[in-house]
Amino acid sequence: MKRAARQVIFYAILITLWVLLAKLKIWPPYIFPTPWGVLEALTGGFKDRSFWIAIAVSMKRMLLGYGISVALGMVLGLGVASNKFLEETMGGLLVSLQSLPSICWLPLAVLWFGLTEKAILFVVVMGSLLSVTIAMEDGRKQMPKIYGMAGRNLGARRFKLFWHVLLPASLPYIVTGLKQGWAFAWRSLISGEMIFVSLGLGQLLMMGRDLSDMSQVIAVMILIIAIGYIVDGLVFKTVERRLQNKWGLTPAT
Amino acid sequence: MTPNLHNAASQPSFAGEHRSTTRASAARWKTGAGPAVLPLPHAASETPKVSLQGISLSYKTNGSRLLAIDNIDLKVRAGEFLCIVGPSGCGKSTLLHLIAGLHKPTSGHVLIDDKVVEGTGTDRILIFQELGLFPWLTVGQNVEFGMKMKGLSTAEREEKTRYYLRLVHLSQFKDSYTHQLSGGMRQRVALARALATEPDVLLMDEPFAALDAQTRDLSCVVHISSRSDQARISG
Repeated sequence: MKRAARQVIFYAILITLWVLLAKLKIWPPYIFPTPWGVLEALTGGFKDRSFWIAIAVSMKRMLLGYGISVALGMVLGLGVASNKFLEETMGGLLVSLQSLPSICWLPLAVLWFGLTEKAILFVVVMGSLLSVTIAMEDGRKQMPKIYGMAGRNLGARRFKLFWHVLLPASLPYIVTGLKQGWAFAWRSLISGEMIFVSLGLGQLLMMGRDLSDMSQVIAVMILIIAIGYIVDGLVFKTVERRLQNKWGLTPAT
Repeated sequence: MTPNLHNAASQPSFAGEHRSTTRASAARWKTGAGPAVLPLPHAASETPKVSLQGISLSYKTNGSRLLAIDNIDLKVRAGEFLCIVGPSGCGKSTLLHLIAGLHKPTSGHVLIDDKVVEGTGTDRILIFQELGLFPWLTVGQNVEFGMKMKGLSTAEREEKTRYYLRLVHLSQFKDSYTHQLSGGMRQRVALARALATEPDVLLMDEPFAALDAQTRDLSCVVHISSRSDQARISG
């Protein structure tokens, strides 16, 4: 309770400061918007459905791009973790590539795919693939060896061993990486969407800039934060907690 | 660089007891220093279920080679119960892992029914010292696992799971997760899981460490001893 009260006070002070600065009119409102202007942009955006459409379009791309990343990353990560040759060669490359911001893939994507859906998807996949791959690799390595041995001992081989033993055994270790992959994919998506009329949230952001409508820019930013927070805080946290309870990693209450 | 071969610790020794139907109650354990294969009654005509031929295992540690197991031969016939004893670190677990096919010996062969085997197989099931129960599965699903891998039908799996859980007195914990059980109960789950796969050779690594005295005397042990066509090796 005390914590919630502190948070309320913190945000109240923040908004009061914002109101004060806006009231002082140091900058014109199209550069520094008022809180009620942003609120209006938010409700207006939802009312004329442009925000709903943008969210739907962005989420669709997100699910597709992230899905591809997870599937590819799983194969790559497990390959690297279970093959010494791949680990020594590709392992280093993966780590060094991770320091490359995903937006760096954008010029390449535009040249390869043009201003299309595919270019955005490519940026999303490249943005999250590496972190998913590295998470899978780590998860596979952190997993206690006994599970793999017990699985083989009980007759599980190859795909069955992977599907029934190695994958579930490493799940608690890789879920953190999957969460990180989601965050990276989300960022890449928004930057990717800014490049052309793509209907997504990123494009709404650029539209706000083009129209010198700072209220809309801030409103869309709030939306992006909110969606990121909801997915991270609700979806992934719940999955993480459930896994940990089921695996007995945290004391069951 | 020449490999530096040296003995890590004293080798495991073997103490065996043959349980024939007529002598089931006679529990006589013999212990000896150094590897020894015990004389076995009416065994000469039978082919051994398990036989090890010149099994050695060495591995690299800090640049030098460590000889963990040095040239072990042994034969175990169906119905026999072989017990491997020795100080900790002498290679008991490693030997069981080799028989189970989880590691490859540096030299020598493991033979089952006079055929060289490589890799794991459901004809040889090992109960690990650390059990290796799957925490993401319920007790029932754990027991079912080996049968599922063997491709048994759902009905058959359910029936056998029920049977083996009753055998180890864990029927009411079928839907619990393993971390909700005590150490001894977990060990019984591992026992049920191994028995349910119905192997020809049962390998047990410190199998009764966490079991209480009552359970040790009870049905599990009786059951382990009851299959006359099974070879059992415990370390």
